[in-house]
Amino acid sequence: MRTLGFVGTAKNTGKTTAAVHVLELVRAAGLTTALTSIGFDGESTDHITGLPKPRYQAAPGMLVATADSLLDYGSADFDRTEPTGLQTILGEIVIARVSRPGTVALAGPNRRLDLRRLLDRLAAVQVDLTLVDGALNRLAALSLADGLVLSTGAAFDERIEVIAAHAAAMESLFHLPRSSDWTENAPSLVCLRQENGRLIQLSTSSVLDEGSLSSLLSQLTPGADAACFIPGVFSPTLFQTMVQKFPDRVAGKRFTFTSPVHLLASGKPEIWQSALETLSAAGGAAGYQAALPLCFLTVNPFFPRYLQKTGAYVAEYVDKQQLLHSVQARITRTPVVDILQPPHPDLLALCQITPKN
Amino acid sequence: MMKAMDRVVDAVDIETFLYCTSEDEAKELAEQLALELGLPHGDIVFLEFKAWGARVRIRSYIHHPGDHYRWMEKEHEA
Amino acid sequence: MKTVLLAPLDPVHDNAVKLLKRKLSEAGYDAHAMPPGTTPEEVIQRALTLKPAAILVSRTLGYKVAEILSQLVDLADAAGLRDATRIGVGGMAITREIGAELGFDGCFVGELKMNAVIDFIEGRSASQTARAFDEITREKPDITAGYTYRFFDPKIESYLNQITDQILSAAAGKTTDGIERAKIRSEMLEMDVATRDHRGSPETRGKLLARYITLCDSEIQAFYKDGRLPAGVRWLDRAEIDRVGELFPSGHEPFTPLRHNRPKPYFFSQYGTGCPIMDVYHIKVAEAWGIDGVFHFDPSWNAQREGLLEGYLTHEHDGTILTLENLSFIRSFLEPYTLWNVRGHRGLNTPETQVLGHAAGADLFKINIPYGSTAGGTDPQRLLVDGVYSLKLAAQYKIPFDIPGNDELSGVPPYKTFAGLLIMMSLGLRLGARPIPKPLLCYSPYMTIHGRMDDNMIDMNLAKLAVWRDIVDTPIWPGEPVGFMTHTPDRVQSALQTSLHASLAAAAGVDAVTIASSDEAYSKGPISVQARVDTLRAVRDQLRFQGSLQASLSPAAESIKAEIHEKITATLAAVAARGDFAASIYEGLLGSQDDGLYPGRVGAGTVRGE
Repeated sequence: MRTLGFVGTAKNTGKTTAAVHVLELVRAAGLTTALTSIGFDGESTDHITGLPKPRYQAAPGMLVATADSLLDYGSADFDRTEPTGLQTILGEIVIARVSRPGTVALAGPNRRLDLRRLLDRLAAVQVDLTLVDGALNRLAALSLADGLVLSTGAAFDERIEVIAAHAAAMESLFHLPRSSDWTENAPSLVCLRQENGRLIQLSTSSVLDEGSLSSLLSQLTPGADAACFIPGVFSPTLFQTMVQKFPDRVAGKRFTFTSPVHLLASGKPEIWQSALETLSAAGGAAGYQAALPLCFLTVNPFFPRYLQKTGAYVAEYVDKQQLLHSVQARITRTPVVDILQPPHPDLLALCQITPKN
Repeated sequence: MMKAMDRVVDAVDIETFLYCTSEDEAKELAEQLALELGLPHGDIVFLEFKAWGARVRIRSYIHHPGDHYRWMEKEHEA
Repeated sequence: MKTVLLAPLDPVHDNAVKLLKRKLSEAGYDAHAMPPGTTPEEVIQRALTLKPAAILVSRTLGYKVAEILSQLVDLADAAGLRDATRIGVGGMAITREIGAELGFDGCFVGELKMNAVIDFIEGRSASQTARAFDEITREKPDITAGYTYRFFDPKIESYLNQITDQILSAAAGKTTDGIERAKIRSEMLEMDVATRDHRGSPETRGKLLARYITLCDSEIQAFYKDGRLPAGVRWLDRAEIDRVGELFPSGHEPFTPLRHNRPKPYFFSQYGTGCPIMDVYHIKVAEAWGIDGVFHFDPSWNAQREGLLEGYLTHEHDGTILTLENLSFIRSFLEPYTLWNVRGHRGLNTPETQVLGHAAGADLFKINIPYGSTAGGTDPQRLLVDGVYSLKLAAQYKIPFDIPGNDELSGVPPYKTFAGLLIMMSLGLRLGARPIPKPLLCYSPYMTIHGRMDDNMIDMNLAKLAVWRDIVDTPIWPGEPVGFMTHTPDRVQSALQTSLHASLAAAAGVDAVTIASSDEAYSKGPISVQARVDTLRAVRDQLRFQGSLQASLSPAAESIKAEIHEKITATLAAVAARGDFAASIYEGLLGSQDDGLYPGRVGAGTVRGE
């Protein structure tokens, strides 16, 4: 089973539109599909802006993993439901099979551990492809996916150059190599393996404050090569401080992070991009324990504008052509599309999905 | 299409302050306001005029006890 | 000891976090609070060291706040914290859907409920919490518990014993159509033929109903014989009745009393919109906003006609038609802990009302012979006989009865009304029932005409409550509702007066209080559901404001109390000396025509020998 995750750089950047479009293609390709969300998706209007939102349309035979309280929320009917024992705020997650097509509301596993359990169950029932709807700023759980589709747009920032720079920084993080330093059974705490094979372990999984950065720095010996593993998160600001202030200590060090989403979850991609360039210039390197391909990137010219006088939001748009071309100009290694501006390249092929019919 | 008005359990109350120069004018305006807002059988529950205007509450029963209540109708459930 | 990490994630405010820290520490948790202005990174780093069972975040949702909250959740997940640590969020504008979207394990909506927070820390799921709550449902309070009804004033006790003897001898060997109908209703209930969709024998029902009909007024007879409904009345259809069950499925909000930190008083409100369905809606709203109990009010014509109707009936007038079906229907939607009073204190159907109320599950009755026999009410002789029979039923059913003192509204001075309440108490106690007197807190004609509240409304009202403590060990329940005649159609003014009176009664240590809606003084339409909420909210805040503050009597109040006590004694002495209770009412000893009170005439001449 393949798992495809959909993430957005902000609300209203077109994540659901992209997912709904891919779902349409997958249905035509004859694959058994499951749909879930690591957040909540199901309203026809956004609960903050009040503006219309796209809804997931489920076809007969498709599986939906969602909180039991939401089964009656959409217009789809289900003929078989199976409990999973996984709990969310909105109730227990059930795997339900669609018998009558219609809209569905999704609230699935909200943490990585639960998503893994759910994906294991879906794989066991011969699902070919699971689409996971992401949520605002929530990437960590999607490290379990086989590929990601990233959506950005004017809802993230109304300045096209800012959108493009941010998207390019994010995209760049997906191209670090897979590291050969740490095997699948990597430790759960920050570790340093010295050239002589000696393993030093810190007391934390992550580096998020000065204290833990100092602990790490004290183990980075200048002039010696070493492999460092960060199982959790690393604040990009602290990482940048480290590589800028202590180039001698990071020289010859190979930093392995769990996945690109662990970097993205830690903070601003622009800071990562610049810090990693500095690291490289200082003679250090970075890679991932597990690579995660970015299949393609979507851009969306829409943004909600808040009107102070009426307290309401209205739909507005930046120049869609200019947005698409600006982002495409900055990102050359990953296809960039606007779902509402066809033609598109073969999106299924980009997601490494092979049609059955 | 569900109307929000159908979900009013019994009465709609409109509270406001009217610019006017007398209590009589306030009453007229309040009644007119109910008509302009399309509220059936608007009734002045309360009106207090003091010098510069009137504080007023206008009520319109959307559902009387004993009616068939539209908020009970199933097709209104989303 | 489980560790909990609390974070405001707010640049300035951390009141909720401080409060939670104190409450969790009291509950035995190792609670750590982070200061305002803490970033998500700092929270996660601290959590990586503390390894807490839960992280609780308090934050008002606003511009860009969702991003911060979801960043915290994502960091926790990426840092590997979420396998062992649950993350919860609470704060203004946070909803369950937003909590789910942002990826939290738990979400605290509305007021802080510590049991929900602790369930969350302990890893009990929401559905488990709901079940756990069902198992420890609030117990239904007994207002009379702990009271001995011992009289402290022997003179009053002695007069009351004489009057009680007079009443019982006057009622001995007498019956009325009302009592006979009550007996038939009881028989119908025993034979399982008391409702239209009964499961008993049609012949038995036919026979009993035929006897019943002969004891009814012509309009009621026409209903049973020809199926003719009184004007303006209609049947509720099955679909309407079934639909209510779907609108109000079982299960309930956790009960949040209006009381801040006292065990009492219990708060009651009346309903009686005319429609059982609308009543259910009003009751459910009142329960959700913290009411302890409700009264069923029937239409005034119920009191003036011999005989009661049957079936699920609705109409567009005040008061909900009293039938076993209507009562049972309404009762079935009340929470198990909500107290339910079916009033039947003043009409021709008083005994039968107790029978039906009991059959439908009433917790309280309301019976007052002197009040019911005046001011457009029932003939005193008739209500005396019916009232005695009703009190016997209350004793037999072990249902306490409350005694409203609303004759004050006609202009009767408090001491005469209170003398009547005491007579009813004494009579009820003699017959084995448990009475609850209801002195009225009001701005009555007596107060205005005699200027008794010209300076303030506190002294008189406090004295009216305190005098009871000097006479008898009894529960006290000011009603009905408190603040009567102080209300205007201005909802702010009306809710304020209700809350002031309710809180004064609470500070005087009463057991229960009946409150009005803010529509109390609006007479041109039915009470709106929002008007009920107005006063519940006002009372809640007033009680919060005053906490466990206790009222003490000023010298002026002490002097009013002594005056009332003295005049009660004199009134009871006069009634005892008259030697005939019904005659005492006719002659105005408990409220005269000068006071504004006239004896009732409905049902005059209908008392007969058994």
